[in-house]
Amino acid sequence: MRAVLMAAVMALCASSVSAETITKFWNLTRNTVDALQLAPAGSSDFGPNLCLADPDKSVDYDERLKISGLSSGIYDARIHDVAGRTCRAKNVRVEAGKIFSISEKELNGCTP
Amino acid sequence: MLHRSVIGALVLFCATWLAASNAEAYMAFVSNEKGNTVSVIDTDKMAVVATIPVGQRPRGIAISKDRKTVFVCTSDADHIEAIDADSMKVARTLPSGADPELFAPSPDGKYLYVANEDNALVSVLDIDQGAVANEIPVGVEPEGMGVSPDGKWLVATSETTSMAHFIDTDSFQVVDSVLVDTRPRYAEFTPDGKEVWVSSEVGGTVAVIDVATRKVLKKISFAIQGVRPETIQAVGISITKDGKTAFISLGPANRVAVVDAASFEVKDYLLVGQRVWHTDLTPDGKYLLTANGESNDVSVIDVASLKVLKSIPVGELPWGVVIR
Repeated sequence: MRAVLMAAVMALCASSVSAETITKFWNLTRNTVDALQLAPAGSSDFGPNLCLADPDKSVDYDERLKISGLSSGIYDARIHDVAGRTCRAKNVRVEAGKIFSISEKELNGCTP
Repeated sequence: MLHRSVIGALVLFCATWLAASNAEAYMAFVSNEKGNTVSVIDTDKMAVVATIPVGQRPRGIAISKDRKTVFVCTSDADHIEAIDADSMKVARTLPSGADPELFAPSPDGKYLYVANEDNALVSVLDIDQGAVANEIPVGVEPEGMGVSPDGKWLVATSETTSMAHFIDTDSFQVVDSVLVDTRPRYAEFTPDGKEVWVSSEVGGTVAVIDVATRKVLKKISFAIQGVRPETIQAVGISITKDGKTAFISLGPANRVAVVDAASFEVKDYLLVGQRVWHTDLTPDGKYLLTANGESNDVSVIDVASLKVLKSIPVGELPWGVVIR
């Protein structure tokens, strides 16, 4: 019983730490990004627009977007920028609590 | 006897020649934002002669009054590193407040005024004490920092508030704020201290502000044939020692604008590397060096002829440059 209680407390602590962990997206694409969505690599299950968490809802070139609760893993990214482009970046490696960047040369399939 | 005097003359000649050579051997220190290094360029050889490892995300870079120390903001490390310019090694680490990006040394060499983007503060760092002596609240996301030549005025630009804040360095209080175009990035005083030039990245303009009245004298705009207006983003500013010419970096337009500082007219646009950030002039005023963020190089501009002479490869994402 004690062990179960301890495990539950530890799990609770771990999840609260994970929720508070801030990961940062570093925009090194050409333009200001106003939508960033992530999906597990190889899937198209894109999540919400993470840029909405930014005070001005966009991330300028060379700026950072703070993202809370993001798990480590490899993601595909869908990006929309203020120039009207929608682009993909494949196999973006994210480490929770660290900074990950997406640069212009990593973008592909941009439309229009 | 004759032999001795010949040797004496030779020694004198060599000493003079060496002194002259040393006087011209400038070193440019370039912060590489993603490479976490500072590249050192010999401006005579026009080549990188050393690469100094520093903390994460080095951006703002400046030199001490005695020109012996190069300070660099290592933004992700939340501190400032002091590089011994002779040994080219990090000699000290100084506190700075969170996420330091740009700073300016006071003319007396006592302080570094540091913009802390994350907490809307300007930190006054006492260099000798290695401690923050004061903190000045300013607008949201301060970035550009300029100090008047007499040291009496400090101008901090806040990106989100779009203001240039005038700070009295006796009281460390903001005494006036001037509205400029969107996302002001950099502030540079003219050598006579009468004007401060403030670049606005998103606005794509430079505001020339009269220091005595704090009025905008002129807003300089830029237009380049064949270049989309939204890519013309004003960032770095360098002004020649005689105060006659200003060089404005235009970011993703990949150009440096040459501006007549008296008439405020744009005389020329010089094509440099990709995404030009900040610039510095050699102490003799002969060359302007530009840090080009996307092409990972430094362009060398001959100031007299306004020709781009050379591209020098440096580290990853060069951001700032200061020349010793």
